[in-house]
Amino acid sequence: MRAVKRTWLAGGTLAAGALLITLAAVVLVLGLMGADEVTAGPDWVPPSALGILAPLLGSVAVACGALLLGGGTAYLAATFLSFERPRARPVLLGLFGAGTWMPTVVLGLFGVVWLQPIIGGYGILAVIIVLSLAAFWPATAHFTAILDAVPREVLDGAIAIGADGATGRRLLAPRAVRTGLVRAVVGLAGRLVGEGTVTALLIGNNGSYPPALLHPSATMASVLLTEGGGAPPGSPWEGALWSLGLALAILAALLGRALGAWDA
Amino acid sequence: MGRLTGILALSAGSAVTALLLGALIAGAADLSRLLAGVWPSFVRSLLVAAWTLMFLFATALPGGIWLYWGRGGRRAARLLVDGTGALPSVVVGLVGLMLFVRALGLGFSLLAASLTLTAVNLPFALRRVEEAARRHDGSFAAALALGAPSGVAFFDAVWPHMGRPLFTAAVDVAARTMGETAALVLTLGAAAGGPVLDPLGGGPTLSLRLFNLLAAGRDGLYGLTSATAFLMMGVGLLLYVAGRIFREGGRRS
Repeated sequence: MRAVKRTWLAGGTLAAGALLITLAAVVLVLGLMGADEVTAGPDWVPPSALGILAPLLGSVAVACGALLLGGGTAYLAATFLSFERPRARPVLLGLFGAGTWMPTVVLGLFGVVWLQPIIGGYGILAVIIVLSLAAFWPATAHFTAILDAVPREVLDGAIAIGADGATGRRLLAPRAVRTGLVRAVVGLAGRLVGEGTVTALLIGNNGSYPPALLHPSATMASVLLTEGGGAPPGSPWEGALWSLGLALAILAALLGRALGAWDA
Repeated sequence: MGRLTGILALSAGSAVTALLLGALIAGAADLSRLLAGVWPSFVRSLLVAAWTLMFLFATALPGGIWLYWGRGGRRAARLLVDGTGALPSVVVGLVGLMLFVRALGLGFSLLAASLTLTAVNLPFALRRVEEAARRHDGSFAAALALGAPSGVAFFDAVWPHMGRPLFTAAVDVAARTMGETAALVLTLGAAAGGPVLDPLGGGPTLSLRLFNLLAAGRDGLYGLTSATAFLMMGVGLLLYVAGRIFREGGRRS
């Protein structure tokens, strides 16, 4: 288990490093632009307060929540498809393939029409639930492909030394393909952090600090999407949007490509 | 992680999918009347997808072939392609807003939107062209070993086999383009509805129309939003099935 922990620790450290590099790049660019109005303060209420902490934390919260809910559910489904019912896999993965083509704006309809009345309005929770759904279909297919690479000898060996099949699948299978799993999870985080359409529809776009599960909040992508066309050219507001865009680009590129291998 | 949780996870995913599709159909019950008001957006979506494919054909085809066959700088180019491929479309949309809409003066128009979507899809298309060529690496190497010049080797041994994978890639790009929203909000979002066939005119595509309807509020618009979403889903599923059929056909052949 130590090797598994080490791999996940390395993945987490690299992801945290990506976040720090992103922040450093934003500070550097803002310094070069001389955009003194843009701060690392908590509130994003343009044009008066341009603190980038609220949207940045909102993005991280949304990505982490959707990763836990959507990624976790997808991993369970992939375990079932890969080990328990491999014969059902072609049919179900074919159906899930159709789900991957469902545009995120259609999922936004699901969130606005049914989820928001249940939850009671805007907030990070609605975004997390809908993004989990968006992540579920491709992540299931991706995790299934990774779990298919578990050598049969690993599972047979577990049974040979007295462990039951479930123990082998639960403990040894993820260990055998840990690198692929970590890369897939980090890559999925890179995708989720940049999702703008669902977020803009469901989060409420209120950049007050701290981001809340059941109150309007904001992410970098939702701020860019809703305010990108409205900021006056040359204004500090526009400079702040560029810095947010840069932060999002660096974060998504680092997570999505340099660390992850998400090509689904 | 056992059988029960797996079944639960799969059931939840399948149930939500079925619920979503069923509700879309039920919500858009008066479909023919509702779709009549949606067709200009549908035509705009088709136009944007067609122009995006056209621009991609002009850029990604030579670019992808160079990635496969060119000399010098390919590793750096691949790194760049991989890095830009991971960029969220909202970031590319912001660049499109600054470059195409403002700097080049195209305004909020279908042309600016198509160019931005070309930028969004370019890394994906480049890699697909390169992969299509790389599948016949052996034939290319064999032709070179027999003494053929590299151009002849490529166009005789590789190019004739690239049709099916390129067509599949085009279908995938079309599906992505039809469903893309974030980049369109930034490059087309503020445009008023104009003549449908005018490249420099504006007006919402299907996805943008749905986004605008949802952003405006759900009261009284459920039928219209459902009809728009239904049409988007139909086109998306059609393209997905077409892509699957061509992919499977390619594998068998």
